[in-house]
Amino acid sequence: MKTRKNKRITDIILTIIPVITILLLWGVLAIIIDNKFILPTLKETFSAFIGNFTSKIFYKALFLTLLRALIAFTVSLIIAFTLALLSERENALKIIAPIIAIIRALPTIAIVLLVLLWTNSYIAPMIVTTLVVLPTLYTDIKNSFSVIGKDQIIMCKTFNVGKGDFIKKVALPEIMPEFLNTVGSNLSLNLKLMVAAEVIASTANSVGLLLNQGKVYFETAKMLSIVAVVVIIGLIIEYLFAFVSKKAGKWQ
Amino acid sequence: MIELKNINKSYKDKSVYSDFNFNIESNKITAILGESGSGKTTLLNMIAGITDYTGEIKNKPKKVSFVFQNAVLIPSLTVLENIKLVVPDISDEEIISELMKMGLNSVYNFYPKSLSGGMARRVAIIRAMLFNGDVMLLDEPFSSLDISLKSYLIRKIKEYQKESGKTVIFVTHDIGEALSLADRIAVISDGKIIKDVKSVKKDTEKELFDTLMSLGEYE
Repeated sequence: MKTRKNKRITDIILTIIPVITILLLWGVLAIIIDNKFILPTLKETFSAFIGNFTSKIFYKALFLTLLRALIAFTVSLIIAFTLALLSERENALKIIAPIIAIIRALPTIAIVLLVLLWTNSYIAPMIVTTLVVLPTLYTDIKNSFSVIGKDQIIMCKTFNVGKGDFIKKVALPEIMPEFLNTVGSNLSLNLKLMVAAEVIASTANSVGLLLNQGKVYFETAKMLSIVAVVVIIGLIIEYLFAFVSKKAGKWQ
Repeated sequence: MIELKNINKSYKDKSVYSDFNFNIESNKITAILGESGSGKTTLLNMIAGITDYTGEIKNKPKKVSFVFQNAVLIPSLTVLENIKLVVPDISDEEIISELMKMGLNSVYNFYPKSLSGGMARRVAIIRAMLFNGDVMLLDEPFSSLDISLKSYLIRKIKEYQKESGKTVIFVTHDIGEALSLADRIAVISDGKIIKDVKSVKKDTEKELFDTLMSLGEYE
C-alpha cells in the first residue's frame, strides 16, 4: 500500500519537474532578454492568459476551432475505421496501403495551399486536418484490431459463438482500450494541426487567426497565452482518454 | 463412428496427410500418439472443421467440445463470462459449482491473466464439458502440468466420459498420458497410422515405446 502511494508521489513529481524546469528557464530568459515583444515574462503571459477568458472573441474563436477540429476528426475517424476494417481482407489491403502511404507522404503545407486554392478558408483547415490525421489514425486502428488473436476467433467459431456476441463480448472489449488511447492522442494532434492550418488559411473566427493577429501586432504574450490554452486542452483530451482507456482495459 | 476416408491435407508445399484413412469408434476415449509435427493437431482440426482438407469425414460431429492446447480464454472476460460466452443458458451457480468440483474455488470473477497455466487449462476443460458437444477433442491437454494435476484431470475426463458416454479424442506425445486415459491408442507418424492398439494390455507400454523409439522420438 505504502509502496503504491510512494510510486504515485514519485510519478507526480517526475511529471511536474519538466514543467517547472521549462517555466524557470522561461522566467530566467525573459529577465535576461528583457524585451516583451521577443519573450514576455511569465507574469505578462499569465495576465494575457486570464485576459483571454474575458473576451467574447476568444470564446467564439476557441469554440469554432474546437468544432472544426471535432468535425475533421470525426470524418477522419469514420474513414480510418472503415479502411482499417476493409484492410482485414488481403486484396483490399493491397489497394488501401499505397493510398495511405501517398497521403502520409504529402507535405502538410502544400496540402493547405492547394486546398485553399480549391475551397475557402473555412473548409480548407478541416480537409487538411482530416487528410493529415488519417494515415496515423488508420495505422493505429488497424493495430488495435490485431489484439484479437487468431486462436480466439477459431475458438469462438468452434464453440458456435454468434457474430453479434463475438463483436459485443470479444472484439469490442479487447479493441476498446487501445482504440480509446488512439482517439485521445490523435484528437490532440488533430487540434494542433487545425490551429496550424487556420494560421496559414487565416480562417475568420479561429484560434489560428488570433495567433496571426498577435504576430501582426507584436502581442507575444497573447500569442503564448493562446498556445498555452491549446496545449492545456490537448493535454486534458489526452489524459481523459487515457483514463477512460485504463478503465476499459481493467482486465489487462 | 467417425470415418476419415482418403483424406489429403497439406500446408503450402508440405503434405501432412496423403490418402489417409482412419475410423474413430464412438463412446470411447481414443488417444492419438505421435511426435511433434506428425499431424496430430491437424487431425483434430479437420474433425472440428477448423481446417480444410480434401476427402471425406463421415459422421463428422456437428457440435464439438474442443480443449485447445493453450486453453484460449478471452482475456477481457472473467472465468464465469468465458464459460457463459459458449454456454449462455447455464446459470452462474451451476458454473461456480463445476469450478469448485475442479478445485477452482472463488476464481469465477478472475480475469485469465490472474490464472496459472493449470487453472486456465481446467477452465478450458470445464467449458468444453459444459458445452456438451457431440465429441470432445483435447489437444495436448496435460502438457506442462505437474503430475498431481495431470492425474487429477485424467480422472475427471474419465468420469466425464463414463457419465456422458461421449466420444473423446485426445492427442499427446506422452505414452503415460495415453495409457492412463485411452481405451484405444493410435500412433501417428508422417500422416500415417503406424500402430493401432485397440485395447490396452500389460505389454502395450513396451510396444508403444518400441514404436516411438523406432521413429527416433526418444533418442
